[in-house]
Amino acid sequence: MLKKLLKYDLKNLFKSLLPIYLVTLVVTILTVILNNLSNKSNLFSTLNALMIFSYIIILMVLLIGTFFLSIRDFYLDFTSERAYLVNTLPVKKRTIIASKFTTSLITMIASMVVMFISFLILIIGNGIWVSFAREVSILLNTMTGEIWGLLILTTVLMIVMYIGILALCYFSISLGQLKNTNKLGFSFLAFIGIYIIYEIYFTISLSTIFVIDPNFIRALDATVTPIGSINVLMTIIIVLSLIFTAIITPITNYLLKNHLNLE
Amino acid sequence: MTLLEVNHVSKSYGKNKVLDDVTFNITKGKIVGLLGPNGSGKTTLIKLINDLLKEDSGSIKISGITKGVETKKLISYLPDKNYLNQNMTILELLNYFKDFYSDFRIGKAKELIKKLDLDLNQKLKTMSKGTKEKVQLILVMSRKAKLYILDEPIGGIDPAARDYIIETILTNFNEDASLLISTHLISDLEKVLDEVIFLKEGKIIRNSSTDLIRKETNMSINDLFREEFKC
Repeated sequence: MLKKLLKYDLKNLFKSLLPIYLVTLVVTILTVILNNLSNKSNLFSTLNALMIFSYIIILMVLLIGTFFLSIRDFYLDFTSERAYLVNTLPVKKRTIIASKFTTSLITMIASMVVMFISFLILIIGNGIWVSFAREVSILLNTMTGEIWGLLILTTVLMIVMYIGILALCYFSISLGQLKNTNKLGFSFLAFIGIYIIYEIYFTISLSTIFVIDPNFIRALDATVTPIGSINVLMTIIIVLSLIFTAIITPITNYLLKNHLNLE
Repeated sequence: MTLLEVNHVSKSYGKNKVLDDVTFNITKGKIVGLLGPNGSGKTTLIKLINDLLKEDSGSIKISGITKGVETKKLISYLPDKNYLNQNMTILELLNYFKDFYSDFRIGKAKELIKKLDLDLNQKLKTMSKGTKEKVQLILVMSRKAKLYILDEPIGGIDPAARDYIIETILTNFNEDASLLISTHLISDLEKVLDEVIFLKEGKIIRNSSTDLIRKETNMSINDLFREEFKC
């Protein structure tokens, strides 16, 4: 059933995202063209400045829009008229939730790939490809195992934190739908409340580590390099974020399974 | 054989008690009318049976199974709203139902869609309200379910479309199954109902076979309804 849900959830989200991808690529190409013409006249130069501004905006829309559409999709599937279809399918709630997490992650990765392609178009279109490739090659040659570790951990951290934020939003919606009126407003209030708890949880957890072992940071400084310290800290944050997600997601599942409220 | 068992079910929205100790059974092969004025608790009861709401007390079983994933395989439900994704085409919706419901008869659905002269590649959002409702009904009635639950399928529809809907229900309704149909347009459905449940302010005030009611009261169900619920 998860495969079938993924098929329809992905199709549904990409239907909304494809126009944004198309606009991103068009704005990128226009930015390249105007950048190459900007020396020819003041008009082109002004238009180029405007296009660069539009380009920054569209990149923000791309990432924020992807996140917003994922959350909206979850909200609609549990509170709107669509919920009458989704919640009468012979599918476990945890499968629906798993599909939402997976689709949100896949669409965010797809949006980042579009952003990366857009950067490449900018680099190639502005004729700096050769120097860019040389710089990247030098960087890759000088990278140590620790830096590779940092890069991998940063990627894992971004994915885990994104899943954590999604879990937090899903949990807020599952609380908000319990109310009979203004479910969106109550979801938003729940989000603020849970986010404060989320921040307190991180602060207390990190402080506890230092209280239990006051020599932790000193030991880190003495035994490992600065990048190594960052890697250890990132690993701790990844574990803490995973624990938080592992606690709130079953509660989300419980609320939607046993207290679904389509009044 | 009992198909649907509703035992002492109560439900409140805040301080407002919508259903109060509702108990009834539906046996196999019956067409049951759930009748009551607006706000009597019909839709809430239907939502509870479909696991879209949680009862405050009592229990609901379908074919002896407590409601959950397994009971959703047995029920084909038509809500009183446009619940399908408006961006999907008819063909996509047929495939959606085929993917999720093993009892969905896609051939039957295509045949019914063809009779309506609709293009399978037409998106739902481009259709009129009446056509959307017909498509929804076709999807629901093309399942070979054990229990069909239709919430106000003929409410707010012109008489010609009403006839089409009633005919579609009756000709595609699996005879081994039961049908629970909520309405306040009784005259259109009276002749096909085997049993009726009268719901008033969240309580069942009458639950009997239509023949028995007519015999006991010397009134049609429609007249009795008007009598019972007159303002």
